[in-house]
Amino acid sequence: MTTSYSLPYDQEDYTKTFKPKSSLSNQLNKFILQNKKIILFIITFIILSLFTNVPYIPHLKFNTSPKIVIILAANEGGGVLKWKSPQEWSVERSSIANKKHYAKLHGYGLTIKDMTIKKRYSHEWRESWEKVDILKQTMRQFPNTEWFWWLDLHTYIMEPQISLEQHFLENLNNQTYRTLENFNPLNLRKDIPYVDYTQPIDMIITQDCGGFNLGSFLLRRSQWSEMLLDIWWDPAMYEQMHMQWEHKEQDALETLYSTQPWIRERIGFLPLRKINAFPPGACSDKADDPQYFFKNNDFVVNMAGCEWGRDCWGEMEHYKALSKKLHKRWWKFWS
Amino acid sequence: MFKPKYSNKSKTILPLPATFNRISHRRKLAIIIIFIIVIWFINPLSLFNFKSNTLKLYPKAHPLTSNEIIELSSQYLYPPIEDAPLLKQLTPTKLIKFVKGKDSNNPDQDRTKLISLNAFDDPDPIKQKAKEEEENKLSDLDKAKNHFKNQDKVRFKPKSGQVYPEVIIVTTVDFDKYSLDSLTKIVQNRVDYAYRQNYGIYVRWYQEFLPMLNNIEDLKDVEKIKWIRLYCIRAAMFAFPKAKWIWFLDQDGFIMDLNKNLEQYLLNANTLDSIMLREQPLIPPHGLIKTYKNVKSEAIKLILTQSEQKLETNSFLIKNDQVGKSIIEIWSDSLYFNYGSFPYGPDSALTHILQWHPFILSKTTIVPAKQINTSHKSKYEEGDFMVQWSDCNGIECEKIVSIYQDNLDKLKDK
Repeated sequence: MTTSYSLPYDQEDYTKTFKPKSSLSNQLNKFILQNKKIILFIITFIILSLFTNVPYIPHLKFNTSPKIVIILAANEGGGVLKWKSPQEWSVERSSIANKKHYAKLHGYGLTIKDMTIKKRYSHEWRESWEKVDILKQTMRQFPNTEWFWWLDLHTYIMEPQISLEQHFLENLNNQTYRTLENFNPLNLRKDIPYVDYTQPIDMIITQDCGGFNLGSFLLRRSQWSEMLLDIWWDPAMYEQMHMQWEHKEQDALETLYSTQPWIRERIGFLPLRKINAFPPGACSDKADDPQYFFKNNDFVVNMAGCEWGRDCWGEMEHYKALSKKLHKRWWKFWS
Repeated sequence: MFKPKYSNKSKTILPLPATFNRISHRRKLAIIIIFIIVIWFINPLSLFNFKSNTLKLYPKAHPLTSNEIIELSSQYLYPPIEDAPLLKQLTPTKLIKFVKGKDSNNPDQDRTKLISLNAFDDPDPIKQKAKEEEENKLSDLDKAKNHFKNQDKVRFKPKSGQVYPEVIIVTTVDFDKYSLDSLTKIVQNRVDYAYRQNYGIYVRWYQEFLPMLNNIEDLKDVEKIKWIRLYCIRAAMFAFPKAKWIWFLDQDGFIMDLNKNLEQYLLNANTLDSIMLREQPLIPPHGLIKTYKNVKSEAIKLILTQSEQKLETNSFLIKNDQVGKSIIEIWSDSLYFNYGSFPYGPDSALTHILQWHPFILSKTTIVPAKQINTSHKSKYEEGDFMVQWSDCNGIECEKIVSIYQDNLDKLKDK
């Protein structure tokens, strides 16, 4: 009989049993400890790439900037000439809440711009040119946004489920008209030389009974729009025209449109009711012409001129209630 | 025997796992989910959805005074210069129609409007052509008149294989200022240069743009006729839509070195970068508004020169693209034309535009006058690219033309 001095287990069994469990996390720990410097470097790199703008490093950026930004002009002339009444506060709240809801629904940006009277615009010649400055400023604020939609305070989006893309942007050439052959309330010249209508549309506006309406319009970021915003206000032109130009920037645009081919070839018109329908009080001398006035299921209503002798709050409440009623679902019988 | 039922069909040795049916069920589910996702995101049905995406038909771009376009394949577009004596004999009053009408702003006042004869063309271009051919046979004066009015319709269209000229030299000529002999020399000089460098030229009569000035007396006003430069440049941009640069050189000047290629000499980014003046006051010598310091030469659309007092526009370059066109259109706006406080016409208007509109200023540069605007008075030296004498008066101009023509001939002989 041979005495065996063998261990209770053979060698292999031993190692298997008592070797510390090499779980995944342990392996990872070990790997990290072994390659401390490299790991540290990689982490630093990732942080720099993601959260900073350090040059010479590729920056992984998630494009979070919205494709469309809504610019809402609030607080027009507010708080300087007179106290703001509770009703004005209410109108402002409703209007802002409406645009907030719409922007959130479609992933658009929203920026609310304060239009209080400022000293630098107080000169007679500089009044209401604020619009141009705000557009420039917003374009800087959202450097990757393509379209900017200007909305006056007294507007209400009645059909928030419609996105701008499906409403007209995707099919812009068919939705817009670019010559004044069929609708020309101002009697501008219909034909001027050198106009090339094959250019893309960079500005979308509407015409009401009195001409161009800038209560609701869109502007596309481009060299053209940069140039338009630069040229829109010119002191030598304004000095000659400020008696005729009652609506300042609106009239200036009309003049530019009627004389300069480069302006004309990139402006597209939408029918008023598409983005800018009027309530019965506006355009009162054309009250029998249905092309101006809001009908149920129109996209946006613009209570233009309601601050001149009409009741903004009443109109706002009316359209707010109407929108709610039009979107009421049958199963929500209690509301 | 306990043989499973499925073994009849299956050839596998092992029995299928008990959960096999469930797995295959899951697979079906996965296929359904993938199908839904595909439908949801890609929507192959949209291929069958024919949206009407036809472009609406809008009127085509047309020249200043007519809806007709005459396409020519010559890159040297100039009116028949030999008509000059006939045109002089006709006088502008016969070349332009005067229409009495009411002032739109002031209905009580009578106002004559100057209209191009093109406005009275037959709407059918074939009939009009036949009519003009008939007239041309009968009278040389009518022939000159028809040439004069039709020059506005001319547009360059390259033949297949023809290289499109990159630079167009634009000149306006006045049959009341120069004799036929001098006019021929002036246009020939530009043609010679353009031929050597494969550029295009675009020449028009001053008097053709009378409808824009709308006042025949303006032709005698030195500052007012400067505006014609802008109208002519815009017409050239329409006639050569694919050229890259427009060089405006007015009639009071010669290109002296026909071998200098404008692109190598000035326009390419590196050369321009080295000679353009940065932080140069617009109104020399101490103007507050200056050209930008950090501007890239690639962004430049307008290249100007200055005299001791102001910006000059008798020789300058403008890019023939969207921005260049817009600059010319803004600059030639009638509100600037009619503005009383611009003593030097378009030169003052340009200074005003650059001072008030930073976007346009950022696209503009000033180069030393020696480059493209060398004055004949003690500035010109042999070997210079060009020479100009726009400060000349009356008969003096004719003399200068012949002096520099001799100069040119000498250089040619060398």
